[in-house]
Amino acid sequence: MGSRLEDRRASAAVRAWLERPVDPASLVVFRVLFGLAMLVAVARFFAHGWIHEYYLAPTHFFHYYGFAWVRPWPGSLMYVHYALMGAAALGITLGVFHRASAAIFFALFTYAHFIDKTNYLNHYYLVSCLALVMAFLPLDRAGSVRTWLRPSEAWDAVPAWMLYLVRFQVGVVYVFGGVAKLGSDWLVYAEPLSAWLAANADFPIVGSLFHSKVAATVVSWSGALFDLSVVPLLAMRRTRPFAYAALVFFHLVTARLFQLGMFPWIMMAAATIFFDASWPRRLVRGWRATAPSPARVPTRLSAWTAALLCGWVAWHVLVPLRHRLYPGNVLWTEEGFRFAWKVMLVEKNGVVEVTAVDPVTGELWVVEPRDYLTPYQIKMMSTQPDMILEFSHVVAEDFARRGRPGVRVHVDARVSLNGRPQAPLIDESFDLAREVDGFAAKRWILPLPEGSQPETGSWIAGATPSRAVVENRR
Amino acid sequence: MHHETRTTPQDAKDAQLSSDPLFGRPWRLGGPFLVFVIALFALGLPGCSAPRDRPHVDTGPVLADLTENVLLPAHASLHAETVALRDAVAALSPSPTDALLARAQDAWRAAHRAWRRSDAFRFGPVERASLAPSIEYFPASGDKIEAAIAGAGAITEAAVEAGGSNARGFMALEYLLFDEAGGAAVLAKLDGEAGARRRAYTEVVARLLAGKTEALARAWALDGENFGAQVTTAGRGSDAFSTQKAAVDELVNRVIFAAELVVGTKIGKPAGKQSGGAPQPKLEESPRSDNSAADILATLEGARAVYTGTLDDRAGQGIAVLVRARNPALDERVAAAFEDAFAKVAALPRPYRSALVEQHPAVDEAYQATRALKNLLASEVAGALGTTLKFNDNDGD
Repeated sequence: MGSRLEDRRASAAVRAWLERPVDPASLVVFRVLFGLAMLVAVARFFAHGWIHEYYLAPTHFFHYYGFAWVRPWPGSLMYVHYALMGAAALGITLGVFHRASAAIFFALFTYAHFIDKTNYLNHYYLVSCLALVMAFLPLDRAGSVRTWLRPSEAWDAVPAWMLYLVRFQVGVVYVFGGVAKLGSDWLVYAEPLSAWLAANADFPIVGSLFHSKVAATVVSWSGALFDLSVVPLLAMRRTRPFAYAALVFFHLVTARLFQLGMFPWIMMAAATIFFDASWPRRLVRGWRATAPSPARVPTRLSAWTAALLCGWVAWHVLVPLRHRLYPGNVLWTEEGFRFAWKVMLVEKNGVVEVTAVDPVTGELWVVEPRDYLTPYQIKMMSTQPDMILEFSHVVAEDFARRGRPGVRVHVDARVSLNGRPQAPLIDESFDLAREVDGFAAKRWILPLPEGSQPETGSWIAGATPSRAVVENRR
Repeated sequence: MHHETRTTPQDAKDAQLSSDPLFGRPWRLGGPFLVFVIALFALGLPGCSAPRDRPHVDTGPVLADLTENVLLPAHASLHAETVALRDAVAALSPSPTDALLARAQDAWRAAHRAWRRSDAFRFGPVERASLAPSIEYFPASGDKIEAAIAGAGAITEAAVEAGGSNARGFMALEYLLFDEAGGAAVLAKLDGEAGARRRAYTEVVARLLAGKTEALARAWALDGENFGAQVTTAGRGSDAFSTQKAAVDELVNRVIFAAELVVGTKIGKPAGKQSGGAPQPKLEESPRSDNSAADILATLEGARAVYTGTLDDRAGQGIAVLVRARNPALDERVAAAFEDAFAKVAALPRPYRSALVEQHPAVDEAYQATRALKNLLASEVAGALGTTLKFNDNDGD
């Protein structure tokens, strides 16, 4: 009885914590920065010719399981699709029909990036999640065209859960990004950072350190600690300025070193959500919170909303960990790799030889992937088992169309992961034309060879490439 | 629905709104944590010169050496060999003999070897203005060449240039200087008044070819357009390569393309790997001269030159130095893979087309050895160097 009473008290305390009104200012700034970043992202697709490259040039698209129906629109309609996406991003920025704009942006953006998993990026997933969250939040109730035109509709506060939800969404990127780094490749062998840093040794000032395995190890550990700690450090008022400065430094350096597109800029903007909820008011003199009008700020958390929030949070906590359900190293098998914030964890290169065999005549064809795919699709397919499977089906269907139904498709994929010697990724004895995609563990993926470790040395483990064989003049 | 509302004085509201329980209060963990991070750096960075650390290798000297010892000499050599070819064809033209034809054929083989060696660094000026197809286009059109010779139009450089890529360049010269029936068949066509237009056509094709390679060599040369400086100054003002990594990426990708060219186009396709197992001898690169195996070796020589930094009598640092610094065992595997590929290609029986038709085991052995080399380069070497793979979208020619 007593415990039930305590439960009820705790529940009431949590509810009060979630429902308490908070200043919407930081959410407004978040909305504006997110909208602007998305405008830039859309503009980049036009400017770089990516709409043609990603949706018009390929003749085949790699589908997400269950989403084969998501295909590019015919003709030039993908340009219209992106133009509408830009308009929706502008709507978010300005706070015009905000929730509709966010919902439309979410639908258009997610559709575009579900067309071909070749182009999967963690930050695209983040953008989709944030857009969906924003579609449910009334972020145009302050600092928007809506409240400028109709001041009576302005809110001076929002329930705290809205702020926490956005913080959670941004926070999971860092937390799970850090959790994903807690493996021997990252911590013991400093891979793949070690290879990437050494390749960028002409980086200004500190570049000469990039050859060093010790430096790579320190940077790897720092990166993992940064990801794991930046959210609480941003949360603490005392450490916040240092944490944000570190965050900006980290993202600027990675933006300069690696091809990360909009990701560093989105994260630098998004991390402002961890600031004090009223922080923008200190920057903009005269933008002070006004007393909320009675009966105008709904803060009560309905049971439905609470259930949805719990489901959303559970999804984001469990999905990044789903790789635990599959055997083997997730970096190798990639079962449970996507949508899990496994950022910057793999230097993985491979070559596939796909062979089609006519079971009746025994005739044999080594298929040229470039006859079917773009160079970028080949690159991505070569190391990702589910894409190899789909490509095998494409080959079988093509042979059937050309009058050779029922060919068997076998794949010899040689892949190197994070400085390991290449190893076969696919069991060549399987006829992949007859294997089906799905969420079950793929029996035709070969495990990493027993005891396989990066060959590039480890400062921590004391394994170092020989010094004697290397001379470098001048 | 219940709406909770509050009405408070302005300042109190500001304070209340901003102090949410989780994110507004200082935690006690921050200080020790920062000390830990700083300590990690303090302990780690001095160790950067520790004995157990891997060797420090600069990319700049590697790029400088490769330019000086491989890229510039290779292009200069290509030009010199095509000039020798042009001169040999000019010497053959007035009165063709067995000896003069043999000299021209040898000159063609030497020049073609120089061209195929550059498969492994087919970037920069050669990509301009269709220079590569002007030098070599596969296959040559015998019909087009014969029509031009049989026609009444003047055989000038302009006319041959206008005739299209498949009627000039190395493959056209191979068509004109070699015959599967032997040198006598070539001489019979070149001889006398009847062969005058053929001799003129051959001379013009050889002159045009020398002109194209001169343009290419000049574009690379220090005293020319100096494209070599684009490589050596990568990351330090180069317009072509904004970073040293971009230059290394280019070189590594080109070496991989060259290996792909060998595996897919020069061995795989003629061996029938893409035609149900039925050999396609017509896809052999240089059937009339029976030079296909030598062509493959030349492509591999170019790839190995970029990797090792050594070409002919010039030795320097190549990609191997960067690989060795990061993974010496991998460098040894690459060296062994090159050796195996050379050995297996050199063991191809001649004529190559007969080996293809007979499905001689040596063909598959050469295919597997060169494929192993390609796989090693595209997976492990690319991984060790953090190379952004580009993947080829054409047959390489």
